[in-house]
This record gives sequence, structure tokens and C-alpha cells, in this order.
Amino acid sequence: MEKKFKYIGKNIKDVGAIAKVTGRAKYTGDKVPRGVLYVAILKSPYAHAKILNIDTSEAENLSGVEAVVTHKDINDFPVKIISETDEGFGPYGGIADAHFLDDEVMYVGDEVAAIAAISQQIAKEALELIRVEYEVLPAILNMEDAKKTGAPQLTNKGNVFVRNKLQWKKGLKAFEEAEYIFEDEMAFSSIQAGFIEPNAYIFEWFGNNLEIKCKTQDPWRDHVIISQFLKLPLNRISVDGYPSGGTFGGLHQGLCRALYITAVISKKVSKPVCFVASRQETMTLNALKHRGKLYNKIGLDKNKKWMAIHQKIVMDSGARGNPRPVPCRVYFCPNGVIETTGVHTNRSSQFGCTRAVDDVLQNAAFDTIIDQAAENFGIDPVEFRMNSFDYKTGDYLNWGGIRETTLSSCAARKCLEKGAKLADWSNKWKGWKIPMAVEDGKRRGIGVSLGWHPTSGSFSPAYHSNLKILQDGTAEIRTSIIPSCDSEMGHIKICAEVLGAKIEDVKFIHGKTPEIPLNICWLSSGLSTGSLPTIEAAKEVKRKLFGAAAPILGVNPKDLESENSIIYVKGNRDECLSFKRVADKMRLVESTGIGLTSDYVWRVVSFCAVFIKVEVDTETGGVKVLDVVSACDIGKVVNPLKAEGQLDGGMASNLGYALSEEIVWDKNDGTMLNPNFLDFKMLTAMDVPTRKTIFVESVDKETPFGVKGIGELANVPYAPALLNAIYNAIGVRIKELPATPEKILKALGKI
Amino acid sequence: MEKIVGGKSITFILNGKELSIFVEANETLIDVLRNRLGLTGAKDETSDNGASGVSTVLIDGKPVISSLTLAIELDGEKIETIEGLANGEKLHPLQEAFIDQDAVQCGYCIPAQIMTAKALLDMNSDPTRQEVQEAISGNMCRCTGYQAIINAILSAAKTMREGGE
Repeated sequence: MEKKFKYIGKNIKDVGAIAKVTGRAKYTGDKVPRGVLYVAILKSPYAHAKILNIDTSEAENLSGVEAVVTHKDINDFPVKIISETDEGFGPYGGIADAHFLDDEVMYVGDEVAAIAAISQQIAKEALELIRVEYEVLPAILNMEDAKKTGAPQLTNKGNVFVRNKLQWKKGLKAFEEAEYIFEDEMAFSSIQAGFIEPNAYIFEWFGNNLEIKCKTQDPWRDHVIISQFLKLPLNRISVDGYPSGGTFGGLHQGLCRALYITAVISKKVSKPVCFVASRQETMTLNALKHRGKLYNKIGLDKNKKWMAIHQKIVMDSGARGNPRPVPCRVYFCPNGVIETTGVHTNRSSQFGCTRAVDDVLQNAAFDTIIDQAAENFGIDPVEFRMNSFDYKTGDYLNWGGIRETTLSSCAARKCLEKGAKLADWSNKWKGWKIPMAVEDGKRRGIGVSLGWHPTSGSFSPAYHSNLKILQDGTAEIRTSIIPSCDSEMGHIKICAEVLGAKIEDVKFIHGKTPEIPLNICWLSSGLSTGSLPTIEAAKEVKRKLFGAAAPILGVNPKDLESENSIIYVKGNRDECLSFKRVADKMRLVESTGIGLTSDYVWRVVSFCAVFIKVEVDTETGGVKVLDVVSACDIGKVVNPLKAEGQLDGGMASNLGYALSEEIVWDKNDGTMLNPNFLDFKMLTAMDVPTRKTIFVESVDKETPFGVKGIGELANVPYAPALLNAIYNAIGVRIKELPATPEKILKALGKI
Repeated sequence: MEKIVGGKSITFILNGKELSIFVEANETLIDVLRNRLGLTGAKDETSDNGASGVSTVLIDGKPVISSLTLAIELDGEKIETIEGLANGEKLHPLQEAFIDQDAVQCGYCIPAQIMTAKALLDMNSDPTRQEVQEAISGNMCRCTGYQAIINAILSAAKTMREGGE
């Protein structure tokens, strides 16, 4: 029987947003203290060069300059930081092989030196006074050149590295048993995470204690990394990272070396230092999503059921790409091999997180090869997915080599059914290569996809959450889940449900480390994993409240229940005490809950069926997205409107990935040609379609309250549905993203 | 050495109050708002050349990129920023609607979205969805995909037409 919740599943006014709508919320760049020194970074004009000599004397003598840092100042600092709890994909093994401020520059924009000065103007002037003598070295500007014999080797392990190879059950041998085999290859471009707030770091020392204010995805990650980097005990650092103007994984794993540069320079001066990136620097100093090629081969049995997969991804990792495996991929196929190869080129790091990892590429490639198979059989693509890719609760699940387990809940089939109905699929889909409509050179098509993303995980032995009831009965939750407002409201609701508190009395405080206990800030797990310690804290606080109330009411704590911040005697509601009465006696009721994750975290996957209608203008190659239907399974929906907002955000991002987002480099000298928002084309408000969204709740018996995550799922199903819709409209497949007008016209044979 | 470029005293109306300050010729409006007056709701986008729209404020009721506006040209002008929108604790219908529609995620672009929307609704009390999309097309957002923001603006328009405050 469905339990009735007081708050979960209802839309509740988010008073945490008041500071943001009144302009009172202070982001890092708004918190710059008095007397701060501004940091400016000198960047390499060459894609590959050795620094033979660097003379900073003129810059140092410029009035207003207080410190200069070059690679000569870095020798005392470690460049490899590996955490003891690094479990392969640990969040704290961040900057292996970072080599920042090295004497060899590896891409245009690579850091060479840094200045701290009393004004941004003086800092920039000082950069121009630094004399650098470069020996320009041959550069590798595309992946093909990296593999040629005689190519310069960009690392001492060469240019090509096997990042990951997963193999399970029968592996490639399964294809010998397959009745049908389909294969295809797609090419992808590099993109940026596209967050609007640029990187910002403020380091301020108080004696030998360090206070950091920074834009971050995960304040504890930054806290631990800086502790190791500066060889400072954890209890002498605090990190204040809220609010953050969007991260999407793009600030993950400490790959923005400006953080470390700011740390180094802070030790050379006696004033606070601040670095705020320009838009250009936000694109050259951060890790980008890699470009590359994805080869897909799927095998189906004689009943056309999916039984084998072989995927090969070759990705441009930039000069200092992450050499560790990124197993953020989940497969329901009983047999498979997944290979990822990284190739070094003289470009900025391309790590892969821009709201979902490789899943963005994989969903785009995978869901379009499914359509190709369906077309081969002449079967309706929705029907085909329901027959051949019919994911169900209990299905075999391979979590990127970390676990082989089973799927804890899945309503994918219902998502397809209900989504198809809402999109009027049976009337709009006219058959393979038959568009919905053709008029005056404009062709309309419809396409479907079924995307998925894992939405739970655990990369720490434990997570924590602190709950306090203050003496007036109001409550404060503290835990580290910076990125998502959806999760924040979720914690408030879950806490209020467990505690029996009035939701208006429960507040979420983001605060700073170390007061803010460590929790999971990524992998869309803020609720599915992150709520565990909040639940434990709420249970313990309730126990303490009941323990204090029971003797006053003359009953056993077992005889008590609570609702709306009032403690009642069960069966006799006239006998009651408010939280306020009890808390006033105790002054503070508090607990820090510990969430110990069990195996369930590797079994949680969210799904979304997407139906997109497009109009392709065959004269201009322009694609207009007309309408989108999303039917989404995130288990128990905690915040309906916020969850819809997550899908909306992912939709705009994923459609941009498919249509127009692309980082462009100069072919000859490796300069990034579009490091700004005018030329890197993200969708604007003009470009977004109308949409209808429904949630189809699977029942997950393993996760807290049956919830699953949504953040990254939102960025995977729209691109493949769009590509399938374009194919329905024009009858030609675009296999190189983004599907710009130029590529569409080329595909149509018009240019 | 800090370069002195010369300047002059200007007087303008900021959020309904008259203000006189001395500004240098090369000071931008965003400099004055954020660094001189402590109004950090509008965000600096000088390096963006105004592409993201986060420095949007209203001058004489029209949305303007304050990062690309010289303060010295604002003598006698009427300037509105997000900080002047609420009436004490009473939020403007746009601010209420943004909260009710859950249009606020990271919040970084929100002051600019709201001010641009105010300019639209003060001029056009019953915009179509398309007109709303056009009006905020210069305000970038990576979190919301714009849907809830568009809905919030349409909802606020309705409230304001019905005489709600």
C-alpha cells in the first residue's frame, strides 16, 4: 500500500530562493574582502613549447605588484595527489600529473606565471612585463597526428593510453551466438560545461589557518586536496563554496589549476588573494568534455533481444587528460566489451564531465544504432525498444566494472508507453523514411529515444549530515550537497517527514567546511545516496526529543508520535508537547547522522523516454525543435516542479550538444577560436521548444523513500531522440555532432 | 601606477533615490554598482562582452548591459537594479512567481532575468510566450533550460494584470 506523505511528492515553496531573487545571495566574486590582491595568470601563446628563460624582474618592480609566481616556485609542492581512500574513481585523487606552472607548456592558454597586484588593471599590466623565452616545439593538433610514427611524445608514457577496458561474461565471443549484428560509428565535438558563473577563488590566511571561498562542486574535495597540496592539517582549513553558479561536473576533481596557483601565491603575500576567471579563461583553464569517436556494435538473438555489446571510444584527452578510468557507464546487456582509449594532443584537458560523463556520447550513439536496427527489421522504433531493449527491474547490470549486480527498479517500458501516448506517436509516426509532413522545403519528423543514467553511488566509506533543533523548535540541516536545489529541498522534506516536523520550521544550511559534514556532491546522488545520513540524524533527534518528552507526559517514549512539530501521545492527541517546549528545556537537540551505503547504490538507474518533433529547413539546413515529450522514471518523485526543471535544463543542454555546441581550434596553431558565449553556441530562450513532462514512478524498495536521481539523466536522452527525428524528417543520418546546418546541407547533397 | 583619466560628478536616480557621486571617465556602471555601492546583484560580464547578460540593469526602464555602459554617461538617468525591486519584505510579483514556478536553480542569472522581465512587463502587460522568449533571449541560463523562467514571467504578468501586488 502506498504510504501517504505529507511533503514528499508535493510542490512546496522554496524560501531558500528568496536571497537569490532579491540579489542578496553572495557568490564568491561578491565576497571579495578589503585589501585583496588580484591574481592574473600569464598564459602560453604556443601549443607546445619549452620555457628556456623567464624574467619577471620588470613585473616585480611595477608599483602595486606584490608577488610573482613561476614554475621555479612550484618545486616544493606536490604535483600528484592521491587520496588514501581513492577507490579507482575516488573524488579526491584529483590532480595526478597536473604539472601546472611547468617549464613546458602544452597548449595555447596553458599557465606560465601568475601575478598578485593591488588592482586587476595593474595585475594585467604586469603580465605584459614578464619576459619569456620559448623554444617552440612541434605540436600535435589532432588525434590522427598523435598516433603517427615520429610524432612528439607528449607524456613519458607516449600519446596513446588505454583508459579503460571492461569485459564481462562472454565478451566478444557472444557475437558468435548473435543472430543479428549492427555496427556504426559516430563522431563528437568537444564542449564546455557552460556554467554562467566563472571560476573564482579567494584565499585568506589568518595566522596559519586558511579560509578559502571558492566556486566549487564539492567543498570537501577542495578542502582535502588543498590540505595535501599545502601540507596543511585538515583542521586548519575551511572552504566556503555556497552558492555556486552552476558546475555540472565541470569543476570536478580539481582540474582547474588556477586553484593551485592561487594557493601558491597566497603563501607569498600577507593579504588575501583573489582569482576570478574571465570567460575565456573559464574555457581554457577548465577541463572540457572530450571530442572523439564512438564505435558501437550490438548483437541481438533470434528473438531480436539484445544480448551483446562492443563499444570502442577513442577520445582526445588533451595534453594532460585524466589517465584513470571513468567507469560512469551502466549496461544491462548480458555480455560485453567496452574499450576507451585516450589520445594526448596539445589542447587543454578534456576530462569529460559536463552534466553526465561519457553517457552523453554513449546514449547519443547507442539510441541511434537501435533505430537503425529497428529500420532494418521494418519495425516501429517504440515497439522495437519494448521488444528488444526491454529493461526491467532485476535485469543484469554492469556498473562500469565496479559491480556486476541487478537493476533495483525500472519503469522504462511504461515510460515508452505513456510517453508515446502523450506524444500521439501512433498518429505522428508514419513509418521509416516517411516524414510527419513536408511543405515548401520544410520537412517535419518525429523521433524517440530511451535514455538512462546511474543515479546513486558511493565513493566514501561514509557520508554525514548534521541536524540541530534550536531552542525555539526550528531545525537546521547541514550537509555538503552544493550543486542541486532539487536535492536540498528533498533533504528538507525527508527530514520533516521522518522527524514529524512542520516543514516551514526546517531549513537547509550550506555553510562551509569543516562544519558542513561530508556528503556526495555528484553522480546525481544527492537524494538517493545523500539523504541516508539526514534520515539517520532525523531518527536520532526524534529519539532524543521523545526521550525528553516522555517523562513530562508520563508515558513511555514508544507511546509517542509527532506531526507538525508537536509530540503527541498515540491515541490521545490532547496529550502533547511542542518541539519548542522540549527544545527550550534542552536548549539544543542535535545529531550527526552517518549514512553507510550498502550495495544498493550500484543498482539504481533512472530512465527517460523522449519523443521529439522537429522541422528541418532543407534550404538552410536549420533545425527547429517543435515539441518535446519526456516520460521519466526517477522512482518516487520528491519535488515534482523541481524535477521537471532538471529535465528542462538537461534538455536545453543536450539539444545544444546535438545542434550547435562545439569548441573550435585553429588547425595550424591550436588556439581556441571561440572561447566566449557568442561563438560557443548554447541554446537561448528563443531556441527552446514547448514541452510536456510526465513522471512514471517505478517502485524502488532499496533507496531511501524509493527516490532516484535526475540531474545527469536529464542531459542524455534528448540528443538521440533529436537525431532520430532528423532522420525521420530528411532520410539521412547525421553521424557527426553537432548537427549544424552545414552538416545537414552536406548530408542532403546541397553543398 | 594607477592611471588617472579624469572624470566628473554625476547625479542619477538609483532605485528611486537620488545619488551624486564622482566617477572616472573609464568607470563602467557595473564597477560603480558592485565596487562603489556594494550592490552585487548584477554580475560583472566585462570579459564576456556582455554575451551572458548577467550584468543587466534597467536604465530609463530599458534593459542595459551595465558591464558595457560607462557610468559617466548616466548623469540625470533613472537606474533600477534587483535590489530595488522588493518593497521591504514584500516581493515584486516577478520575484514571487520565480519562486513559485521553481525558476531559480543556481540563481546566478536570476537578477538579470528578473530585471529584463520587469522591463518587458512594464511595457507590455500581456506578452505572448514568444515575446517573453525574445525579451530574455540575451539572458543566458545553463541550469533551467528557460522553461520555468518563461512560465514565471507569464504567471507574474497575469498577477499584475489582475491587480495583484
